[in-house]
Amino acid sequence: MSSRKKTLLKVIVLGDSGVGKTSLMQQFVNGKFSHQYKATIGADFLTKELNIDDKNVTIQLWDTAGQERFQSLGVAFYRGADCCVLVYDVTNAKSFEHLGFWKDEFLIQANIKNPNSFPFVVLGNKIDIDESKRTVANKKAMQWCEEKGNIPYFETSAKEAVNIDQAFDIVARNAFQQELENEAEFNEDYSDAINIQLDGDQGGCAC
Amino acid sequence: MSTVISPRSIVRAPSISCFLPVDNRLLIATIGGEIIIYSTTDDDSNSTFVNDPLDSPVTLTSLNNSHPTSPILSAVSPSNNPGDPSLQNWLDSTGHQLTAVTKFQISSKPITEMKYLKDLNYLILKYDNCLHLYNFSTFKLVKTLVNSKGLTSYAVFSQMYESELGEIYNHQRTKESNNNPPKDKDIQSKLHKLDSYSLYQNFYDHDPFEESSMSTASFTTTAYAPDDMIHSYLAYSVKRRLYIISWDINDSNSFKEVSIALPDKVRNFEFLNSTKILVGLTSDFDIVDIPTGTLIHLPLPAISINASYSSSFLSSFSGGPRHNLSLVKLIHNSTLLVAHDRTSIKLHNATLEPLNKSYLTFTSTPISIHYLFPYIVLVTTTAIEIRDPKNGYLLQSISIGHSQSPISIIVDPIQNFLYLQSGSTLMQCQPKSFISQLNSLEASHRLDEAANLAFQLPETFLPDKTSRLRQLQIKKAARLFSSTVAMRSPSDKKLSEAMELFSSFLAPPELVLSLFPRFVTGHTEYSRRTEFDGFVDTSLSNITFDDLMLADDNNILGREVSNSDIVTVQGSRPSTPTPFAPSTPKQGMTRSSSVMNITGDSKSIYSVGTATTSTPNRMHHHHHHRHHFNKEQVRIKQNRKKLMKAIHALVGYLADTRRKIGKMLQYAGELNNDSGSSKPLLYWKTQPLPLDIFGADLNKVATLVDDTLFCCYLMISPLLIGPLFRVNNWCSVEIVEERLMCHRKSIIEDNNSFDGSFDDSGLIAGREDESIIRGKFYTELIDFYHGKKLHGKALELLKRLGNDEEITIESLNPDDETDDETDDEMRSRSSDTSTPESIPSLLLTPATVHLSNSVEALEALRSPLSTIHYLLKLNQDYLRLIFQYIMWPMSVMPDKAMLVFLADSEENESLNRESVVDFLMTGLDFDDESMRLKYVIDYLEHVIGDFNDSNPKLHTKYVELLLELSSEENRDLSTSAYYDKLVAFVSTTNNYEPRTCLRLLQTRVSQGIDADVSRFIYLQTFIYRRLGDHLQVLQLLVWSLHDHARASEYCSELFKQDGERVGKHWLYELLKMYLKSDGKAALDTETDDDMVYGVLRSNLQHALELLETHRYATRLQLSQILGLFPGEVPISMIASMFAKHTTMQSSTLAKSRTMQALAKVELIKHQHNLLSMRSKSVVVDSTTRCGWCGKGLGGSVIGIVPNFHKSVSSGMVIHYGCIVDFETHCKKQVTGGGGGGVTGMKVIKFGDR
Repeated sequence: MSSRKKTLLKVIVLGDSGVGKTSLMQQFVNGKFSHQYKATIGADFLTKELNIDDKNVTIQLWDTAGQERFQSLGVAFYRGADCCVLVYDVTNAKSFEHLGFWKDEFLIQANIKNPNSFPFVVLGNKIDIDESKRTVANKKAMQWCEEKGNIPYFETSAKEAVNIDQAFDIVARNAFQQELENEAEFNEDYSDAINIQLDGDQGGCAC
Repeated sequence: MSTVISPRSIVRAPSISCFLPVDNRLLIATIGGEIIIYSTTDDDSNSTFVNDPLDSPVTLTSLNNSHPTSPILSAVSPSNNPGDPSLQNWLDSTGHQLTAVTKFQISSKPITEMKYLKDLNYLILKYDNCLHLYNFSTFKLVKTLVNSKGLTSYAVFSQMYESELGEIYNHQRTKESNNNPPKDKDIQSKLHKLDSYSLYQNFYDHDPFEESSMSTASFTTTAYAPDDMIHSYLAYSVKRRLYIISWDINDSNSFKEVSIALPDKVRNFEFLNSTKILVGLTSDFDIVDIPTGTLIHLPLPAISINASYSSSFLSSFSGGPRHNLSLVKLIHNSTLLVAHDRTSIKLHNATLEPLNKSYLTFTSTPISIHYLFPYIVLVTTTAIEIRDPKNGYLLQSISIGHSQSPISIIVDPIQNFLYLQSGSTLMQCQPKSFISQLNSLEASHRLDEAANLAFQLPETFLPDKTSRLRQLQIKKAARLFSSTVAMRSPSDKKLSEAMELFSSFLAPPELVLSLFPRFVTGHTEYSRRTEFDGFVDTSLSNITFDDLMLADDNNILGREVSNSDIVTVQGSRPSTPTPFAPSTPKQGMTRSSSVMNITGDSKSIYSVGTATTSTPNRMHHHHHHRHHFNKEQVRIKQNRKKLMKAIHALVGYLADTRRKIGKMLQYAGELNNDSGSSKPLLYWKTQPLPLDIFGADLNKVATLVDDTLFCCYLMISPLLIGPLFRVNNWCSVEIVEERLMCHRKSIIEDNNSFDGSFDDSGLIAGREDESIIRGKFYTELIDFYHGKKLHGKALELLKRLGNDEEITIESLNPDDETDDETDDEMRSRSSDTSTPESIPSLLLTPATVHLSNSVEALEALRSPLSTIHYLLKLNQDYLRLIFQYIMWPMSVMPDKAMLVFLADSEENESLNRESVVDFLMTGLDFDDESMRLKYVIDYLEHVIGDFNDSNPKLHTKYVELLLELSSEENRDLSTSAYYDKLVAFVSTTNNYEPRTCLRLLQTRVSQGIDADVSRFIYLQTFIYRRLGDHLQVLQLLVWSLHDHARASEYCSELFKQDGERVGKHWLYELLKMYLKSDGKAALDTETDDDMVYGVLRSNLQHALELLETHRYATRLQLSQILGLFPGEVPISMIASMFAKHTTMQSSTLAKSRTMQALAKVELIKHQHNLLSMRSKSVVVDSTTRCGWCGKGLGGSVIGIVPNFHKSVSSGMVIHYGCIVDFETHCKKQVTGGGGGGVTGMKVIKFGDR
């Protein structure tokens, strides 16, 4: 990768409506939390400068509309994503069940070349809410993440800023790694294999 | 080259010095200082801009036999080069001459320039090196501007006129923005934010609509507010000074004049708006802010088109001797074009920021630039050029002969007519009808220009603007795509650019897919659109599967495969005609079955070279073909590579389109559900979106798109098949089954540690079979079935996998009586259709092949756990399937299989529990019956405990089963556990049917299976208790179980639960049982007197014990108890009981006496209080004054301060009305000094005195 170009990490945040995607981002980027709920329309992004292993990167967090009627962004929006953050609400079992849907939808829309290695991070938000109201057990979520290829899992509270920095640090690191791989892949033409074969054939002809 | 304008000469006059079109008049000034006015209204083609005829091009009557649609003016002078019409031809042509209406002699000096200020009706003439204001109606001199002596240039600006223009050019746009469906401000700002984001830059480059919305926003900011003072301006420059005169149009006599000194000599200038003037100085451009008189340097960034240009540009900007500065306002998109020599830059109207991609470089320096909507007209020394300001495309060029007199051009923006004067000829040039311009551009495949034009036109000119633009963009995309594909090595970027265009302009999938080979879609019968036929090179779409095959591969590998004993798909499916066979001329191809093909394919990419070299006999066999093959191979490989690249691009389009279709289908569904309701329309680019935009049958299109996406994934990224199947999809079952089952992935998968070399070694007979199976996408297929709710198929597949059965496509669709018809249909369909073209897995590359279907994955699928996990996802609707397919996992791993019924899930909760119990009881075979019971008990406990089921049947069943397991005969630890459970259940719950349970228990007792039946009798007590039969409980406890302690405790419980009355009753009954029974109840048939006596004695003992120990015993009436005792009971035996009762009685007596004494004391206290209260009085007479205000009391209601109030003398009399004041006063004092408030103020009405 070129060193003079600043690394921009594109991170997409997905999840059901009302799980706290916007709040998580606001807490991470601005250290603020608002009690008011305002549905995100279309998409919005926030950026933050981070330092990963002495490299300055800009993380660009794309907030998305969880509400279906506001979902309007397609392929162009997902293109070039380096990491996808899946958020659910630990007090809302449905939002957890939908994680798979969000993941698959993302893979299709983003046209991820190698779904097995693409970095996802799962965040179980709203752990500040009373334990008795919790409907998704930590174990259940951990198991899901493990089954889906050891996705990193964090339980967070955007309200009380629990685990936010830790979670986004992993997000940024994984995104950074992905970005490096993306660039490597970009440079390598997938048709090379065929060219090599062609050369091989000609070599064979000579003898 | 197309034709934008066609001229006609309208005036020929020998000494024209300048001219000016004003409304429907044309003013011509002569060298002799005369103004001649012509009327243009008698003209036969006076169509104005706004009433531009839509379809018929303007008839060019003045041109000799010139065909209206002729792209050039060749008819005028056929000898001329048609691509280069000359101005001379125009000038020579004779047209309809206007006749002069009137003329005025203004001056003796030549009038060199005229300008018209419409709001004030002033004509501003320049003659004698000075400006003169004339009234346009009377042609009387109003004023001579003496300051203007020696002026270099002048300009006028009218707010009213500008807004009029703005309305004409932006009318449609403003309307659009008003109708914009997302009205929310928030949305707008969001959209704007997205617009500005660079990610979208590329995207919106193709999306002029988005630009339009942006420009609208900026336009409205520059439009003046209607209630502002409206002004007209005149500015002129004299040397280094700029003079600006402003008039309030309501009062032409009041005007202001300001002058601004500039650092350098003014060459020319132009109004930007009412407050800003762009000034071209000798060395640079400045903006003059009129209100403040300040100068802003125009922020023109360094232009670096390329090195050679930039140097010349910089030098030109840094002040060469003579350079041209031109400023053109592109009114329709609120842009300014600033041109300097050959370079120009576009600036935003309001912000003056350079726009993206705003540099245009002209081939030669324009003398002047004009705006002729929507183009710019450049006059150079050699030609008049009409160009598109967006990208500089040359639309029309009119060459100027070298000996021409100078050309001057004025555009009337209201009419959008161009007037051109050269020598003694004045010509009027009207743009051709926009529709015909558009048509001719499209016909000549100048799609960029056409799209550009269509985008610029307001809807008043192009009613079907959106759809026209869409068509053009789609065509553009198609051409971009096909031209890219035609290249030897197509650029990925271009391909995806084309696909994005398709995507953003909602190209119908059928149209896009017509650019691809049929086998990419998986559909054989979809109608291929022919719009592009002959227009784009569809070479790619004509690629057949054969074209991608190496004949060589098939000869070699076909044999190889047939030598090994592989049961191929072909083998198991004899009715299917051999793919490719009928149409393939190549020998050897006919032998290939689909599997063989695929085998060949995968080898052909990776192992052809080594295959041929490593086996000498083959090499020999094919040696003489080698030269031919190499050429052929190169071609084929190129085709493969192209196709693969194209498919990579296509996937993006498909993914985006399926999302859109999904939304539309959802919308259509909602529309059907609540018909008649005013559901807002779906919008696309501000237009209501027709639901058939992708095709008449949206569901069909959805299937086509998803099937194609599936097929593409299969070829390029198989790992995405899973996600596709797991989200809502419209893939068709037939295609998915066929392709997934026939598809075999590359043999490189066999090699877990793929090292980049592909050779034959992977293909050894033993592993081949495995690789065939492994290549099939069972996991994906099961996900697919699940998504399509074809659970039966999925479960059957899992079962077959578990049984190690061979899976073929037929086995997925077994002959089922009910499905017979459809199955037949399917078979006939598959044999009818030409050939179900196989999948070119040859396109698989190392990068895309992964180990999703590794050995481990397959093993996992074969495990009954897969079935169990699947069943866990099914609810009541599939109860039959659950029962059917749980059998085999149940027989292998029952503990795990039971999870299906024991899971804490919504699905499980929905199951009919009685059916499940029935099934578990009767539908399964168990070696050990007690195992079955244990499972049912587990289930019931889950249902009762976790789901809170209250069905008495289940509860009773639970009791029954526990009872069965609590058997005496095989007593072990678990048995006692079951018994304990039973006791706990029976004693604490009450949903079971008591009579049934009682009967069960009684049967159990009477059966005599158990040596010790007391446990079951004990259980009965709980049931009798539930029934309220306490007598029975006590009798069982006393006579059957001899559990006297329990009997006593039972009575205590009744005391607590049902109260003293009931408790006493049953305690009495218990005593009665002991004392009144004849003992036979306990001894059955034994009649031995001694025995009887013994029993009676022991009963007496129990009774006495009860009376002595029971905590409520003393509550019973002693007289009642005594009556129960038989006469012969010695006093000594009951003495202690008497003593206890007596003690109890005397303590009660003593207690009540004390209470009496205390009550008396209280009485005396109250009497004393009464007396003291009654004795209290105040005397009020005529002299008594209010203790608060000091006035006489009169007849008013009064209050008396209570005596416990210490701050004032008690018994003070005050007015009732003063009480409030007094109390507040007191409260203040009290809060200051502490103590109680003034409560208890006694109020006495007048009558009370």
